[in-house]
Amino acid sequence: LAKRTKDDLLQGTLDMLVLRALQIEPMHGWGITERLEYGSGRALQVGQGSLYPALYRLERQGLIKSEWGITENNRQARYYELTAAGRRHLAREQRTWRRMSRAVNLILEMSR
Amino acid sequence: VTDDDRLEAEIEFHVDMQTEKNIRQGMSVPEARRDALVRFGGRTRWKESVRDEYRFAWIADAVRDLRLAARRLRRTPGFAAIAILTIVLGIAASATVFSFVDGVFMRRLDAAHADRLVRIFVARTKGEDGAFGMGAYRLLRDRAKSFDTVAAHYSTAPLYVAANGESSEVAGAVVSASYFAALGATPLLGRVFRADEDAIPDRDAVAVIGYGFWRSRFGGAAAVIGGTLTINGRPFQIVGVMPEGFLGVVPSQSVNEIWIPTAMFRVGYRWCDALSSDPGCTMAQIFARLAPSADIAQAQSEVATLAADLHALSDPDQRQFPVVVEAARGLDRTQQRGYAALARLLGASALVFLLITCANLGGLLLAREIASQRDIALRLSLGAGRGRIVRQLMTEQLLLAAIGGPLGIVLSVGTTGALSNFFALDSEGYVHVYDFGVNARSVAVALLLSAGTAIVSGLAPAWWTSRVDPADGLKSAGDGGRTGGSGVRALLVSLQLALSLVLLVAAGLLTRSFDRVMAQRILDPSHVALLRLRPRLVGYAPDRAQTFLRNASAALAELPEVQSVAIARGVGFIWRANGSAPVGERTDADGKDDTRLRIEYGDVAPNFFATLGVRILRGRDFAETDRPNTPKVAIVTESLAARLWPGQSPLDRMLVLGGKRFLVVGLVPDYRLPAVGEPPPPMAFVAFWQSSFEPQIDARLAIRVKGDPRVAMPTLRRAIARVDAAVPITETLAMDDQIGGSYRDVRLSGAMLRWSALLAVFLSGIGLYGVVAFLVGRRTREVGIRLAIGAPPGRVVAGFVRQTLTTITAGLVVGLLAAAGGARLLSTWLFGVQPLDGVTFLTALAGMTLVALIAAYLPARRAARVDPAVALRAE
Repeated sequence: LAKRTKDDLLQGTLDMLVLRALQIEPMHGWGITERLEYGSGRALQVGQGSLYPALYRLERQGLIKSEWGITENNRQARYYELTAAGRRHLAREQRTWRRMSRAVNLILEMSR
Repeated sequence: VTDDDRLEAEIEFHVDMQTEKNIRQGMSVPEARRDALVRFGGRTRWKESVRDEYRFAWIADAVRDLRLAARRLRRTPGFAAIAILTIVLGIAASATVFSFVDGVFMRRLDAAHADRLVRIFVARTKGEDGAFGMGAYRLLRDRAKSFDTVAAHYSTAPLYVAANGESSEVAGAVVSASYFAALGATPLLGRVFRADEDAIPDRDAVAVIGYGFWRSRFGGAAAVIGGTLTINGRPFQIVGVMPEGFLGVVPSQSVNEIWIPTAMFRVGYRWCDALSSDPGCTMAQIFARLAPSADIAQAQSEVATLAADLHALSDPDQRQFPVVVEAARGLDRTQQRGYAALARLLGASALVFLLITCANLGGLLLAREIASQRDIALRLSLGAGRGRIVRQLMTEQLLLAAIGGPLGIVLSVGTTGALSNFFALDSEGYVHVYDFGVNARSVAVALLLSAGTAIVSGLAPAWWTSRVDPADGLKSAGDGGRTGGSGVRALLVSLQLALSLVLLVAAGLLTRSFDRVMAQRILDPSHVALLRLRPRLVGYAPDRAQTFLRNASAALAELPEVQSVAIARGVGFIWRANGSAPVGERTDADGKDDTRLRIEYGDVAPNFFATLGVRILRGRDFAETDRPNTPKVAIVTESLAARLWPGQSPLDRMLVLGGKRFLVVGLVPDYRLPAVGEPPPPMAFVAFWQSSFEPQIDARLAIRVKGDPRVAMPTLRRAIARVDAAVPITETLAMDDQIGGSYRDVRLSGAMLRWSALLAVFLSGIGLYGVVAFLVGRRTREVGIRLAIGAPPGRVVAGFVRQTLTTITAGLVVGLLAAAGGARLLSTWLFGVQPLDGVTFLTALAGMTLVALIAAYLPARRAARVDPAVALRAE
């Protein structure tokens, strides 16, 4: 099931989720994976490999930026951070998503 | 760290973290590692996918930039239109000039494997390059190993052809049998010459005709092969028809429509007996196809070893010059030298014009960048890199160039066509074909130039943009913001004004020069028809020819539309002398170091001066009573008289010319307009009917008519044909056209500069207008306040105009100095006008000042219409 969720996770949705995770605090790729897994109550498991193309894409689009940093275990890791443009983009995406999911819910819960 | 290394490190880290987590959850170390790798999935695949993200990133970026650029341009259609128009004009001008230069210097012949074709000629240091005798051609053909095929031709042979009951002059060529093979040309119908048809003099009267001639004279009938036509009175058999578009080997000189073998030279060339052993008869021009194993350097060194033998069979006078092998590119070297100065002038004016377009475009772009300063500051503060913003700007410029460049090329297709037509008629009325059309090379150059224009004109705006301070830019959206860009804009406008003034002065000088040429104060070329009668072509003896000439001119004089008829010897320009001879007795014994003054002379009949509208200053015209058996008489020009008999009357003096004695009976003004720095050449005229040097046979006629000489021409031809239909009438044209043809480089450079100057003035006007409009827009608020507290609107307007005066004055002063410095470069084309011609300079300056003031006043006037209430509320 986890595999299917990953495959079905649309690219736009993954981008939004990554941005949302980074809204909380700057973090590295592994941290994002963990955050999304726990944040979704383990319902979502991001395909670990597919995360990196998304990160590079978002960075190129200027929505996030990155720099090398040190983890609490003293290891070097690449930390990602939202840019102003990323923040605005996320807000827009969230609004759209909420509208969409409300609409879908209304239909699913329609009384006969 | 490259992106690949970075990704590798990130993946490594990620897998390590998963492994540690697995171990914490109780897996063994190897198991934990394996599981982590599996979870991550195909490393290579992800790496590849990430790599795609940045490998194609620039394409995605470019597409986005392009879309953004297109959107911005659509939002400002006025700006886009002017920017594109500017590029179109600049590129069209440069592409036209480049096509001209390409046609003159670089273009290959229209032949198969044209890169293997070479020309072989005697490289004289001055004047026309030398040709060879037929013997020299045969020697080269038989002995030179560097060539596959050697061909001889004489391609400017006007042949008088009668075919299908119609006779007229046709541009012919006398060619060796190898000519067609060397060009890789095959006939459309029939065949070309066999080698044996080009071996025995005067035996094989065969001809190949051109497509156009075939269509117009024979209606394109295939039965033409084997038919006959008459060339200069001799019947020829038609053996072949060349395909459409085959114009010969020097189309720039004459579009050949009929070809005959060199063995028939005597029919096509009458200046000397080409087939005799006379080595002075050197009319054969030679071209060759290189052998596959040879290159030009080898061919050159081989020909150098044969040079002495080749000279022995050609004109002995050209013995001291080298025989040169040169790639057949562009026009021949003689013409190239003739056009070199013109090409430089046109190139320089196109360059100046391109600079103006760059300055104009730069000013426009800068204005827009300044206007959108707030937008830029916003983007900068949102984290967009400056590099990104500059790149966006450059994308926009390249988009403008990508639209304007091709449009400019399309426009230049029209202008190069006009240019080719411009060169079509020469001073003898012959049609020339110049291929100045747009080709792949000129398209490539034009595209490069448009990209270059975009980049150069983007420099100032890019520099400005890179200096925008986000904080400052956001604060100062309205008035009072940074004006650093305005200084640059003022500079660009000054530059435009200066360059435009230079073009304007150059255009003015050349226009005045050609006006002087046309005015020809001493003669009146309007209403004069010119034609040449050539009894020599049909073999008339002098007596018969002279009787014909007298009868023909009498018949012409009786026509109601004819006012008077003049007869002169010689070819080309009717006033031009037809010979030159030394003046005075021999100064040396052996005839080697003859230091006598050598002057030009012309044989002219009575009424010559009256017909051309030239006043005889003193003495008399030639008269019918000046016969071969009466004393020889001459009329001299003022400069010759001043030279020989300074301060005294030339009348009744004895002029010794070419060893013959002439009684001077008249004095006429100097005619030829010398270029600046050249004195008028001294000249003499001798009586035509006295046949002082050679018996008269051919003659050039100038006929003053009522009305348009072009319209009268058929009537004139018919009148002559009634006297003797067998005599060829050639070189028919109006004298206006002849002068135009002789001075076409003045006309061409004048026309080119006039257009450039006009457009340049227009563009700089727009540039100045933009600057003032911008200033006014910037300070609407301030203007509002000043108007509200009662400042007179007129003073506000004047204030804005005054602000630009420095810009205008600086531009005009620099322009004047540059024009004064550059004007001397034009002296080759200045006839009767000094380079520092006051009238031209003052007119250009006044015109430019007027345009500048109007361009500054129009937008400034808007300041007076500012509504204080609206302006103050605006923020």
